[in-house]
Amino acid sequence: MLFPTIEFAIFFILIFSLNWSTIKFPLVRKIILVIASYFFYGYWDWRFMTLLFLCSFSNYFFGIFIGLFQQKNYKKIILVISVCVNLLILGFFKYYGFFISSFNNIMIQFGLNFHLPILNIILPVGISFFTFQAMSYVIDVYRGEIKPSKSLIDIMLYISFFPQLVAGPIVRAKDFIPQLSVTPDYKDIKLNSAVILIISGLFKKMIIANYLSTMLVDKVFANPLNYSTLEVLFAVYGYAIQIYCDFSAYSDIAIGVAHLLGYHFPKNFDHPYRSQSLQEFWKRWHISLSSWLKDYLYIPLGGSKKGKIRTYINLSLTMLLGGLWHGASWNFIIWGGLHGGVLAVERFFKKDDFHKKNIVIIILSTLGVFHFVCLCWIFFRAVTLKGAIVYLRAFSNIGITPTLITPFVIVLIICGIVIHFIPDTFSEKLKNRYKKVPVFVQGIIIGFFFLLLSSLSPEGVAPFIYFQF
Amino acid sequence: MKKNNLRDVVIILSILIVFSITFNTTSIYNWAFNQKIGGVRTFFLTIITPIKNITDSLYLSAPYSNSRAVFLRLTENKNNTSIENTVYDLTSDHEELFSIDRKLSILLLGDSMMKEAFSFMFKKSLVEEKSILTTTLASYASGLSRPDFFDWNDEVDNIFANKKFDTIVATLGMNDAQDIEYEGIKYFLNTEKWDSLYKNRARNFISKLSNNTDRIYWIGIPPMRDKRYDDRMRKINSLYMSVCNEFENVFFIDITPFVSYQNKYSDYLKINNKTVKVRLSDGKHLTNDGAKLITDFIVSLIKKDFKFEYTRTIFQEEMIDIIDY
Repeated sequence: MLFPTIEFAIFFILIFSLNWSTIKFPLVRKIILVIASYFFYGYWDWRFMTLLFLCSFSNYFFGIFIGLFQQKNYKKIILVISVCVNLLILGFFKYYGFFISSFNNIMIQFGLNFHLPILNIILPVGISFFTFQAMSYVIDVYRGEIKPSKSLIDIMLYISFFPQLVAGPIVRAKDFIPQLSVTPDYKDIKLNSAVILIISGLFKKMIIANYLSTMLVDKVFANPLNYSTLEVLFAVYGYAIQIYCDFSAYSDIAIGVAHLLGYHFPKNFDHPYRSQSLQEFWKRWHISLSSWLKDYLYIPLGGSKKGKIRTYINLSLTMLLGGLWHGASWNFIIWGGLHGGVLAVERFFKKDDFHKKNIVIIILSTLGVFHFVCLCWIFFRAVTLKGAIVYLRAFSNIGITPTLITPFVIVLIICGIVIHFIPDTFSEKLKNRYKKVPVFVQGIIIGFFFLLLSSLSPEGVAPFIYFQF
Repeated sequence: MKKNNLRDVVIILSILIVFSITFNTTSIYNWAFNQKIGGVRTFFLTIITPIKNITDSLYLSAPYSNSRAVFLRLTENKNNTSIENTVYDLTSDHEELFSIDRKLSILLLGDSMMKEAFSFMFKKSLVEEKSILTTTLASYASGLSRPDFFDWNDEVDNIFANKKFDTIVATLGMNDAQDIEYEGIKYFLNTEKWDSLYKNRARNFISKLSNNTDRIYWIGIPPMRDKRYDDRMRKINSLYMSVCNEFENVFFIDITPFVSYQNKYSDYLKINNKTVKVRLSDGKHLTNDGAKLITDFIVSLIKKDFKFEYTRTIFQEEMIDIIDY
């Protein structure tokens, strides 16, 4: 079920009530949350509840075994087995078709009449997220950053916790599992943060992302050659705003919902389009994934400690695999490769301090990074590589009269950009003012916001973009 | 720093629920109404209907409805040329006058969508039309991906060998979102090679139709309830749209605006202040009411594109289906 729906509202009210009414019985409360999370997941497709359980079960035991052995070699062997098992699950469901079809196409190119069988595999929702989360647990146990959990319920809850199950943020085991052994304090709930996160998330998803998608982006990307250069350009800007609003909305709502249940997730987006370099962009965009890739892939590969050439290779490889994580398609690999390439170039030319001083350079850098990211989004959004190339060709459609650039579409794009440049001090002042308002009045303000959002949002809710990963 | 406790959260949630029930009953009612027929739907409708009646009588839903109406009016894209206008812009080069003696012959061709709702509603709309004769060539579960199951090229070759049609109304694609096996190689859905192969098949098929008739109205695939299936259908739709654009006498009709709400799947639509069920419970096929929205439009196009001499007789002319699977 999607967040901004009545089904989820009913589900959440029920789970919220059960969560806090069983606060004095931690084990019962955790079991309820696990059942709720499995129900939430099963609502998408009940067939994959078993997969989720098997993932949790196997990683629980991997953690136990790593804890049992003293010798580092044995620990390493179990770690390697667990990573292979997790990657096998991910690889089978997500990449089998892609690799087999690529292999078969190569056979055709060479005129060989041999091909591997293809299976019609359904992609389980959120598999990229929960397998990465599971790997994070085992690796953290191996590194000694957390102790192996003796409670299967804790591991099941960590991997399946419904706010972040299907589209992140990818919560680290060392950040979340310790929270499970502490009873949340009902006298100190991060209510204000939760409310602001949830309302802003709903606004970003239901208004900005949904309307940009239906009024502009989907139409132009479906048939770019039928639209003018201006529409093609605005559709790219529109998609940049759409994907930011869509994805950050999900993260915000997930974090807000977790707050209301007494748990804390780290933030996943930090105004990425105000970045002055690509390196900064990746410290602000999908922070949980980029930090996961840094800690579990880039650094183990050697990071920047094995010389310049190796650093560039490690950067490029990490981003290539990061692209592949998003989807089994050459488009995503190219998207990741472009980012990796430019990150390597940035590393070649610079310094770590990415905060420029001169205002003109700040503006030019920010615009440059934004436009590069938008160019990469074309590959991310286009269904096929050919589609991306056709889209790039469509920038030369000069003679066509634009019909999709309405004032409302422009306002949406501007809103999406302005969100990034609201000074942090202003946001803090607003939050502090809001906190001083009596709770009853807060409730009325929130009620009006919800009513407004509901009346302005389109009928039906498009799923979040990152569900497909 | 002030801390919020559980009581504060409960107060806010309670106010939110009261707000929703008081001012947003329409939205909750619509949600309950659109659920699958069963216990859950009945339960929620039983609770929400009397509340809606009360809030409506007190005009408490007015802020929601009015703000929505104003917003939709302000954000409407006035540049959008309606499909109707786009097709009307095409000048008919048909000089022939169709009449009872020289009927306009229409071939209704397609898969289950054509076999069920479309052909039924076409026949119903045209029952009074003495100058039009329809023939249905339709097969369940058919498409261009599996000629081993049903070979559309063979079928149209056979029918064109014996009969000429003035116009064709066609739809295919709903059953085609599957891997294609061709000359011993499997082409996988969502790959460029599949797209290219399917597009060629569509091109060859439509070319065959185009050479054997004066005008083709190709009906696109509507949005689907299942997201993944919907993505695949949109892709196939765009392939057909692209192929249809290659032929002067083939017109692709995007039916999404007819049977969706803001281009998204919807089981029900509000038409003339009445809620009409336009999709069947499978989330794919159209109901007769849903099909009627499209068939009425196409019939109006046909009447615009072809010239008719209207005479009335007291006798009903028979409409013959030659081939019906």
